Amino acid sequence: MMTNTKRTTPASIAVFIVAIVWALMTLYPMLVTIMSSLKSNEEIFGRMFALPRDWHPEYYLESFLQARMGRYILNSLLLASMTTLLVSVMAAMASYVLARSTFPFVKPVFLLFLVGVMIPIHSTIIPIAKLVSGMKGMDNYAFLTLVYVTFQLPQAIFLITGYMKGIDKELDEAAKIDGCSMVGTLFRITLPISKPIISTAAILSFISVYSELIFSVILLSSSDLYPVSRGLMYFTGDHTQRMGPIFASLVMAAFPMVMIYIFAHEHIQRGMLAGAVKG
Amino acid sequence: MAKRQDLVPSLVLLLPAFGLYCLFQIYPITQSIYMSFFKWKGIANTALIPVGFDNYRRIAVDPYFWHSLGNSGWFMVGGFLVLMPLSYGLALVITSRLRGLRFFKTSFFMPVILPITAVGLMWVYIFEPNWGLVNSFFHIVGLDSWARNWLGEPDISIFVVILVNEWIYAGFNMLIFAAGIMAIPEEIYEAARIEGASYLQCLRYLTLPMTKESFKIFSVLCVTGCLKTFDLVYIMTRGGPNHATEMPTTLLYSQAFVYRNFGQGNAIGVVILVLGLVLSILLNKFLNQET
Amino acid sequence: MKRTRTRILMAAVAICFALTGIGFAQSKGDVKIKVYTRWSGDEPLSAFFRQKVKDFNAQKKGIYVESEAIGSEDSYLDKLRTGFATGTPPNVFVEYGGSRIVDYVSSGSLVDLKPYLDKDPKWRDAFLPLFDSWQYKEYPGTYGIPVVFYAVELYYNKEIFAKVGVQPPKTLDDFRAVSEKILKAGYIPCQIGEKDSWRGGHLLNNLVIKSFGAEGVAKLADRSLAYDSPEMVKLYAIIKEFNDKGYFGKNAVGVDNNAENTSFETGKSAMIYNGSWYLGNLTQSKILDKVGVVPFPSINPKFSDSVQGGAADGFSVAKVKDQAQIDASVEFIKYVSNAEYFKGLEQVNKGGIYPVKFDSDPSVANALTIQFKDNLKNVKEFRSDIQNYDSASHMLETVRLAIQGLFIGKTPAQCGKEIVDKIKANE
Repeated sequence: MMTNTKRTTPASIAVFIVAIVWALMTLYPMLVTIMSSLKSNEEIFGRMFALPRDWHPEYYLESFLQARMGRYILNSLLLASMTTLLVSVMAAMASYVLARSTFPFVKPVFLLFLVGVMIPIHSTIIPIAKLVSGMKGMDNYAFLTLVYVTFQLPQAIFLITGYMKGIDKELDEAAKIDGCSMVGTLFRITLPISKPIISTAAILSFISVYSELIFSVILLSSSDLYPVSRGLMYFTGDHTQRMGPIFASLVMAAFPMVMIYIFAHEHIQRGMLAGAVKG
Repeated sequence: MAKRQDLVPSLVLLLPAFGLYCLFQIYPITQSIYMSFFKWKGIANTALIPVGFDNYRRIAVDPYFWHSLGNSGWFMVGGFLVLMPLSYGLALVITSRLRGLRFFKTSFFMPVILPITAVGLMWVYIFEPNWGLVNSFFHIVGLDSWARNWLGEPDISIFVVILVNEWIYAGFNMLIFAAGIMAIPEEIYEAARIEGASYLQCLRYLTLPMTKESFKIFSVLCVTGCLKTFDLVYIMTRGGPNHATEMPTTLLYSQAFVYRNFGQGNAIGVVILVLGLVLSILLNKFLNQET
Repeated sequence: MKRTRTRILMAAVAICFALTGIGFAQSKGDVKIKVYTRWSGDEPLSAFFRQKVKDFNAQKKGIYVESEAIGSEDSYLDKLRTGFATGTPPNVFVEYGGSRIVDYVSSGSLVDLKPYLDKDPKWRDAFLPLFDSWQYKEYPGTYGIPVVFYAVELYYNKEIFAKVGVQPPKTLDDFRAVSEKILKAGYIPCQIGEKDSWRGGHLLNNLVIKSFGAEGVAKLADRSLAYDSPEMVKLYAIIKEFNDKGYFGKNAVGVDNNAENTSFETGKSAMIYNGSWYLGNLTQSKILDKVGVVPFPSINPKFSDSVQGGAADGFSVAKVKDQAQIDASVEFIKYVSNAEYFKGLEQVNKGGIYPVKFDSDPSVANALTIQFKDNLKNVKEFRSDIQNYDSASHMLETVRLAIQGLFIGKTPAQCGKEIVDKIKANE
């Protein structure tokens, strides 16, 4: 809401305080994670919330060299970008039809997509694994990406359709009267206005694919293809877990995500302001 | 409205998503529904023994299943009473013109960015009974009796998990609400301000009603999310101690993958699916009535 | 501007593909076999096994081993179970045997290794008698070979014991008396990390084995000794009593195994019962010199030489259509279970106990490891997890979760009833 201008009112001070408190609550665990990434097990269990006594910066080197986190981060970024790209394009196209058309098949199709939001992932593991291995798609990024895409599609479609339904229909009609085709209206009118929600859906897909675990475990086996979540397991042994290096790997994995989010959000903001002026 | 000339482009726009989705989601889920009427040990070359509705009967008489549904119910209560106002508030903050906005936007979203294994584990340690942050804090300020075994006491552990869940997903839902709030044209506010409306009045009569779609989206995502939540519970408590924080999905997992009753596991999956669908349809009806 | 960005993106994608496209050093015509293990990390066993796989492939015997290691048990089992469910199991995999793989055995999914063992007596006869985890009354044959040998003993902190003025406990009554004194001196007698339910499971294993011996374990498995019988309820009551008195530390159910180990290694907890794998942790820790080790306290003197231990992990071979793959799999498991393999492993592990006889090199081991091995000299019988001998594969989890209930206020009788109810519900 753009109403809260830079005037200092009691309300804005209260909001500011609440915002600070919540920011501390969200940042503190991050801070503890960073501190813990420099500690041995001995210090983590018992003195987790204090500053390290013995510093272990070498854990970062270990997770980079031994657990190959650098490689796995690149792999995850690749998987997440391919998925996000496909999801955004497919979901935006489908949502437009689902939000605007009145053909009799639209409602059932939307309902079917809604089912996807509710599917518990563990019911689908065996059928999907069977399907993918039947198509000779094991250990193959293309198939893993397609599986990820279908897991992200329902939520993205749900979000984008809901948003597009909220957009004033008169804009569409006006465009049509001006001679715009359906596809033309989508690209010239609806998509620019829907940028905020499409980027939101894209960010959410990107994040969940980036650290996805179960399907990467089941569908991939070459260690060169492992994503971040497999790298995080490196320091988990049969009866021991070296928490310090695990936390170091986590920090390394989170870093590019934070950067991408900051960049993406700025981008969205600009897009939205542009949209608002046009609207 | 539906013009014949739009039919072909409509199908072309819909088909890529729909086809792929049917192949990798609808087909597997129909298989899973089919399997819920059989007894199967989860080994490829073994026979499927048809048992009719026996798997469903077994769920119905399993006290842990009802307990897990109750826990899902608590998740939903938490979702509407804590998560919804919280994430809406955060959305208002990040769409305002507050100083340090970029900092707030990033930090509010941090819990969503970090892998859930990491944040789940961190909260387990924060609630650790002997040296965890919460209990240490109570000891320092002299409230020793407030210190509890947060995740170890069956009566409170589910609520602790729910609060952590809200902490994570506040940032997630904040984005959804923020997208809705930003779609409101600025001119409307300007008009209201000229009429002398206060901030709270704007919120009550403009922002809230105009983000109704966002509330609908939130409600459906919240209800279904609560039914199928798995990762956080599994990381923090594994459904324990002694089944106290069991969720429908943790039961599904242990029935199918640990106890090798794949039929029963699939049946739980079907129940989750049906419940989710019924609840969201009811919810949609209810929310549409409100207008 | 836009075009440059697209170009950068495309270049990045291309680089990623180039990186991921690095091929495998595998020549055509090789028999390819898939091997799943839990040994993924940087500890000696994992590194040694990885090296051995490399050596094996380098020998160019016409076999190429594709080894995949998943350290986290949950993910490992997810992958293994999905493999069997979809008909694409690995050729060779590591599991604990017993009830954990009984479903694979009963469905005929595993290769009976007995003919192969009999064909190579040198290989067969080197093993200690640890095959019971891979042999079943109902299904004749041998469905796996042991590769990890373990035993559970009681480690104690000599410094704390000297300060408090107590001797390491020989019987359970000693344990009680010692714990009382240690508790008064301000230490935790024997911290348990019961958040990981296998810790309580191991405690019950020891109580059962020390009370009723191997015959008791067999009776539990065939249900002639019921899990809710007075004898068993008495054991649950011991667990509850010790926990309520604080011997296992405060809030044991909120502590995980990692924290439990650390509690012992930082001198907060005076004792810890744990497997031989824990020797590795202690060897790397700062308190190695302060640690002593004794057998788990005895209960019934008749069974004081019965011990929780035996084969932990073992290799099994999945039945596939292609006999060449089965032969290749057997050849590979021979390579990683012969005397030479364990001799090398002893060197990198600096001691330890192994399922195969070989001339051990005592110079590599430290005093603690030697003591640990010494304690096993008179052992009459080893029994692993008591549910391993059960015919129902859910029992391991069922019993462990019920034991967890004792730590959150459930009564011994409720614990027994919970197990029996679950058995009925799963019939």
